[in-house]
Amino acid sequence: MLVLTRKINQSIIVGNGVEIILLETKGDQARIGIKAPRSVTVHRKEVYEQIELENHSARNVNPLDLPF
Amino acid sequence: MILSGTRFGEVQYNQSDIFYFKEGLLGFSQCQHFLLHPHSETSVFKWLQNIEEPSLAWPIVNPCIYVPDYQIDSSIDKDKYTEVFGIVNIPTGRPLEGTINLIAPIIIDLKKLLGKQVILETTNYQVKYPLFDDLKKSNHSNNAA
Repeated sequence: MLVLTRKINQSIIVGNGVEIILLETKGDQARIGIKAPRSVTVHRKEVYEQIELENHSARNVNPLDLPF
Repeated sequence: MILSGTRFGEVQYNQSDIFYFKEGLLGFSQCQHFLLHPHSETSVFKWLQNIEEPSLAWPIVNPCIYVPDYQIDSSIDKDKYTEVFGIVNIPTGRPLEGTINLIAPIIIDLKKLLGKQVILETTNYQVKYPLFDDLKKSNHSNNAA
């Protein structure tokens, strides 16, 4: 993994057209701004993982359990 | 064409019934081709049946049936879809505990035969929104009476 140190308002460019900016730090939290084209989706990892888990769990629903 | 090895027995379909999901579903990026078939003639539920791996199928339903003011956020172009569905999950043998995933709906374009699972980041929707809380309550009051 590439590790970079940034000061407030400094940014990182990823690939073509994605910019990640460090906006603010407060204790153990950091506010991060992301500029990306609409075709690039940006999500919090824990939300993404929760949905993956739910998709895994819902793939095996028994048709007999659908109430109507 | 016939799809075998499904929990619905053999499923017959035509080339023109196949929906293409470029990115698959989250956690199932290898699943790109799907059929959409009704659960029964009268049911509001449908099945999103994968073609690459026919044992994979997800029950889906229009979320507005359960959440009338349900909206997907404005970051998703209206011309990208004609239908919105939520994936339904039901623990085996406990139908009243069924839930719908409101935060990651499936959008489908019926004319272009395209589909996608999107994540609604800006909303407070749940991954497991209970479908049948009203039914459970009325069951309880029936039992009490």
